[in-house]
Amino acid sequence: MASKSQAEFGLTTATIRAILSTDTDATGRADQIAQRLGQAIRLGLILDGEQLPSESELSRRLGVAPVTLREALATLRERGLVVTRRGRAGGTLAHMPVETNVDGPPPRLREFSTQDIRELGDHRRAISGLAARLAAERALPEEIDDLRTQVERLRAAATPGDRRRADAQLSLEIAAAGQSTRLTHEEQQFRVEIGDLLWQPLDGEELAASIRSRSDLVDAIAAGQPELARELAEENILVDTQLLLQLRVALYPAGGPR
Amino acid sequence: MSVETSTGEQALRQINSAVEKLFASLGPVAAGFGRVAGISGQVVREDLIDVRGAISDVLAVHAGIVAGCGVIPSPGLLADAPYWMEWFWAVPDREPEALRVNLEPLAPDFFDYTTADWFVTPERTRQPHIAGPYVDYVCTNEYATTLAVPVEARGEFVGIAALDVTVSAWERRILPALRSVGEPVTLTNASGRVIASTSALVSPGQRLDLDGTANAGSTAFGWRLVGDSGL
Repeated sequence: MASKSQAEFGLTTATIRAILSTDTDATGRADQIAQRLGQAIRLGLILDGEQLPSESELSRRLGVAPVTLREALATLRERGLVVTRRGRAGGTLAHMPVETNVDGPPPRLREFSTQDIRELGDHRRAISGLAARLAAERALPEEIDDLRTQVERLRAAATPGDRRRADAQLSLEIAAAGQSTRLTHEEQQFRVEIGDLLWQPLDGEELAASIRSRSDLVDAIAAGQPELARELAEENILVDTQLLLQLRVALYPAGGPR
Repeated sequence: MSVETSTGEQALRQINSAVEKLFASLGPVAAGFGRVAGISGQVVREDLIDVRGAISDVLAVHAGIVAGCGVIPSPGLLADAPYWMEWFWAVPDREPEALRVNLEPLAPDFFDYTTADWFVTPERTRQPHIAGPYVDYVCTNEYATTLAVPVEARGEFVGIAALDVTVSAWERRILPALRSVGEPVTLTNASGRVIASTSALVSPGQRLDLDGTANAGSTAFGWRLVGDSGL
């Protein structure tokens, strides 16, 4: 039954579902739960300071053994994404790390090879491109209004973190406007899997162009132009991917083979 | 218009009666919510626990048809939460599970239900309403419709009582009636979105341009039945 605590909104049914949809073997289960819970915290889906359910409740909802969950929480504690408070009002709280290196590449980028980044771009183009196409064919006026509202949120976003959150939500809503539960689910997966890699620090003209590209995409959907919508959605992802590749390559030191 | 009107009408009558039955089952949920909202003094989230019995009954009686059910108060009704959803979804062979959505306005996935069709329309018209089909990505990620009724206390709108029926559940319920129509027919909502069809040309979720199309008639909620010749 529903918890009484208002400070637990973030660990939503949808977030739990996305965390649960991990498909690798059991050995990496704790790591994966840690990775995706951490991702949900970084993205603000679980709010800073939000108290997580008790270990037994959380392991039940995630469908993992308590020992697996404890392992995952230990990893998150190490990474500073949860803190444990002792005492009567104690428990495990989500902790949003301060966006320290707002001008630098995302911390996790080192874990990805350029080939990983290319694969990710291919996958996202397949999903988001088709989602945009379907939205242009199927969306009703009220759904298009929601997309425009989301573009306005993106425009109003003040930090790279806020922008990537608004952008992930826009992708999700486009897939929903395409009336596809499967594509919507894929977008939710992208959000918990790699949400923190997207929307790199951009400024000036680049930032304006990036926001304009989202706005153009929604215009194409509104105009009922499936091919154009797909093209624009894929182009946006190509631009993201190129920027990520550039940032990733720059993380390697120049010199002889290692 | 080539749909055989008599069987088309029969199909529509069957659909109407299925819809009415579902709305009728929301009665006790809405009444319970109205009672809670009408108590003198502050209303808090805990008061809504009183409605849970009626919600569970709906999920039990319509198992396999109703995917979720609950009440959603108007912002400002509850003293201890600006937004709230007392909502449960059916889990096969288990107790219904409480839906958790992000109701913190600053969160990126804040679920602002005050703009959702199933909330705004009953609020505006004070009439029962069927929203969707739409992708319900905040709940079970089903392709679903929401049947919602406005709830009032002392003459004021205080929120809605509602239930979700997936498009697949509608299909199981409705397709036999559509099959009995002598030729392929398609049921759409008022906006032309396909709910169910016996035509190979269309499938659920498609948007049909029905402007100026003759059709075999419509239900009380604006759902329309069209033959292939109207497409």
